[in-house]
Parts: sequence; C-alpha cells; structure tokens
Amino acid sequence: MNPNRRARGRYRAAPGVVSSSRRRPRLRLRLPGIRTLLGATAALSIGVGGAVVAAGGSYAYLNATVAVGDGGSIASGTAALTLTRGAGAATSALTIPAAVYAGMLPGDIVNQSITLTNAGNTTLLVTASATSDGAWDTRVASGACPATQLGTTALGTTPVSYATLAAAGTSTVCLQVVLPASAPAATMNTSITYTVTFDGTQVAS
Amino acid sequence: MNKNIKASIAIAAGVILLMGGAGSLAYWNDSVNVGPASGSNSISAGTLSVAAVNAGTWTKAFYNASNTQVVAPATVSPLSGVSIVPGNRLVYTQTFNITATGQDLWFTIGTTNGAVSGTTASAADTALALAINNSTNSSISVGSVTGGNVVAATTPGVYKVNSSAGPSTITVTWTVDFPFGASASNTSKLGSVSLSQGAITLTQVAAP
Repeated sequence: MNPNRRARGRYRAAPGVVSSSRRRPRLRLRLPGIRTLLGATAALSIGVGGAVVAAGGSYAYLNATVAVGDGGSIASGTAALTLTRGAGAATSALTIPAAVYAGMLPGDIVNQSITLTNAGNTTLLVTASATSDGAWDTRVASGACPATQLGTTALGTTPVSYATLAAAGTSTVCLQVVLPASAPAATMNTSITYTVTFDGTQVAS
Repeated sequence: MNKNIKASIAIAAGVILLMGGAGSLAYWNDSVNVGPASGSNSISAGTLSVAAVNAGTWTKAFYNASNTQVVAPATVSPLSGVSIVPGNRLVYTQTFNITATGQDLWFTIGTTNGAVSGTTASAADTALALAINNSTNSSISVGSVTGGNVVAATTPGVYKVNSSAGPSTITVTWTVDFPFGASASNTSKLGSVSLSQGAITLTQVAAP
C-alpha cells in the first residue's frame, strides 16, 4: 500500500506509525454505492420471498398421482392376398406362361388351379374382375376345376364377389379360360394378354 | 468531619433505604397449563394415496363402423404379439387401491390420458398414431369406486370418506381404438405406435 495514499472510509494507520490521540486523522465515511444497495435489496427480497414461499407450502391440499397403463408398443397388421400356382412361390402377381394357352381353338377350355391365400391379419371379402380378355372368356370358381365349362358368369371389368376369406385362410381357385365356339374368325392366329384381378376388402367381422 | 465524607455517608444511606423499599414493590402471579394432558395431546393428519394393485391386462375386441361390437373382447398377451387392424379396440384394465383417511376429506379423481405416438416418423407409424388419437374412444376412464371407506359425494365427480374401514378400489381402463372407417386407406398397414403411461390423480377439494 502506498504510504502517501490517504485512507478512505475506515481509518487506517500507516504501517509503522503509532496513532496519536491528540491528532487523529479525520475519519471519512463513504456511503454504500448504488450497486451495493441493489445487491443487498435483491438478497433481502430473495430471503423474504423464499421465506414466504416456504411458509405458503404449508397451506396446501392433499393429492396423489399414480401412473396408469402400459408403456409398450402396438403394431398394426396388414391386408394381403397371395396367389400360388403349383409348386411355385406365393406371389401377389402371378404370371401364367403363354404356352399353357397355345393353339386354342373355338370351344377349347384351359383350366388352371390356383391357391388364393389371405396373407393379412383381417377377414377379406374377395372380388374378381378381368380385363383385356378379348374374344376369350375368363371364369373363376372355388374348388377343383371341372372338365366342362364353369357355370359362373364370364368375368368383366366390374368386380364380382368371389369369396370371403378369413385371415390366413386359403381358397382353391379354378381359373378357366374359354375360347367360345362362337369366336369370330378374326381371332385366328391372334393372342391376348389378359389380367384377372382378385381384390380383397376388409370386412367388419 | 470532612464535607465529602458526610456527603458520601448520606448518599450511601439513601441508596440503602431505596434498596430496602424496592423489595416490597412486587405483584402476584400464577399459571396453569392449558390443553389436553400428556397421553392425549397428539394430533394425526389423514392421508390420500393411490396405488396399483396389479399390472393390468389387455383385451382386444372388434367394432364395426357403427361402433357395434361384433367380436367380443379376448385377453391378449403379450401386447407385442398383436397386429391390430381397423375395427380393433384394445382395452387395458388395471385396478388401484385408494387409501383415504380424514373425517372431512373430499376429493376428485382426475385422469391424464396416455400418449400414443408413432414409433418412427414413417408414414405407416404416423398414420396409425393419427387414427388412434383421432378416435373419441381412445382415452383413460375411471370406473366406480367400490368397497372400503370411499363413497360418492352428492356432487358428481366428488368422493368422500365415510366411517367404513379399509381401502377402496377403482378400476381404470385405457382404451386404444383403431376405428373401422367408411373408405379404404392402407397407409397404416404394418405401422407401429409406442405407448406412454397416463395417470390418475386424486385431488382434495373443499367440502362440496
């Protein structure tokens, strides 16, 4: 400390100097600064506020809470149809080789036995429709294929009800393609690519 | 005799006189204890608590578009083995004990629904969560209070303690509904949602 510097605020005797009672240095009091006052006020407020809050906690009411339920997960299922021909794999788009239908003449019937499976988790109402079958008729019926023409109506673009399949249920479908005896001569040496669609819709069962 | 000595003697005599007189300026008092005597001087507070009795079980049923039950509820376990489809309604049922003591204790039973959110941000998960959360049937509800010392007060939704003994029981159900709709929508196929627990809260209220 600079010995020449005058002490401010509290009286401090210079080091090595014994103060004299006759001639004491004049005391100078310093008022606390604004920041000091604000700090003290804040501390006081926090203290008072804390005390009030703590006291207020005793004027409460009772309550109790408990957790309800399971914190697990839920999975949704699906709706799916698959087709299986012979020893082939189940698929959603089955292609029958053209050779199966090669050389058809008017009046000929070609049958294909297909297994339709509900591979989803809900019951499905299955409909069938056909497109682009030209002069040929396509028919479907449940069960083994007969040697004769199926009694069902030839498929068109408007879906017709085929069956109701429960989840994991299967149905043996007889898919029959007929070249009618009345087929026009223009059909000779022509070919088509027809599509039969099985459509499953969930039913509230 | 020195004047100072005389003065000192006079002052001492005065002090002695004053001290002697002070002893007579008293008052009477007495005291007696107030309140119950030892052995009957404690006060006990009541309590209000709720605790699960069991872990709860899930059932699965099926409702059609008219909200008519067409497949009765059947227990499913574990939940992770279930694949729900539109129309399925899962119900979680859990039993709780209410312990309430206090001659003037009235309280309400509130519920906080559990959250159902897509396990991932995928379209299927999001669609499944949306379908469930949009159903007005998806919620937590509290059945009637049975047994014990808790009975329904005259004000609906308020319960009170009566003189019976023992805890009362409530059955809480959490319904997770995947409603059957009027049109086809396949976005939610193979979706997954995660459940977060809800809560029931007993809250003391002033006498109704």
